[in-house]
Amino acid sequence: MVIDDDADLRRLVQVTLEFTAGWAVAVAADGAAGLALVRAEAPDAVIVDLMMPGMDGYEVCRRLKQDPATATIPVVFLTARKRLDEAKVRAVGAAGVLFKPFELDDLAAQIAALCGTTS
Amino acid sequence: MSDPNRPSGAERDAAFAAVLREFVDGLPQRLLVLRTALEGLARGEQGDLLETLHVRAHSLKGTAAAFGALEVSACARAVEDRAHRWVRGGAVRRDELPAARDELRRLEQAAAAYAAGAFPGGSR
Repeated sequence: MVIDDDADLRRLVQVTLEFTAGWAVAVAADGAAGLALVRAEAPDAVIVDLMMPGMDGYEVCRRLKQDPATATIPVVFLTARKRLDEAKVRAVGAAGVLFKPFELDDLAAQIAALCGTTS
Repeated sequence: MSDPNRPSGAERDAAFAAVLREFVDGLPQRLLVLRTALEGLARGEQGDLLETLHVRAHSLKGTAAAFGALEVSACARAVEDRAHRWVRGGAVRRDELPAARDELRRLEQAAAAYAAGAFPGGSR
């Protein structure tokens, strides 16, 4: 599942993962909608943009990890920032970070590697 | 034997072309939001214009980079960085408005150049 407030980025990641890895990818445009969709669909992983209006990626991750129903779902942050507070990333329980720009052909493999699964 | 459920190369190309088209077609609206925010700040308008300038420039920086529009991304970063400095400083630096307008103009030019070359041969 992809949670990102930018419609073009959301669609690009969705199409990339669907066509390069054959994954079915649900999308949400903000943190609140994303949390509801995660609880409804229990995806294998959640890719969430860090900087979103309202609820940011850190808060989305923190809430997912606090809920026993979603706590084991790996969360990967997506960001255009050059540097992140690694301690904060670890503290909220994220599996890892993808930095924009990312290689589209390798995106599924990178996500799988961060989540400790195979693509 | 090919998998009938596996999308063909043509289907994949069409899907990516459609996503690219949406991004390119949406560039003028993204730029209008930035221009409107900056000019509103120049007129001394209050509200969330500075946050809009910062967040929307940040968003364009990342999305443009993902689409391979690296010059657009770099120009958006310049707009974002200045807006971020204003946010941290608590106010718009009026003496920096001409430079901010120049950065936004360069972003608009980069976006126009990218859009002009996004669909070689004009095939949209």
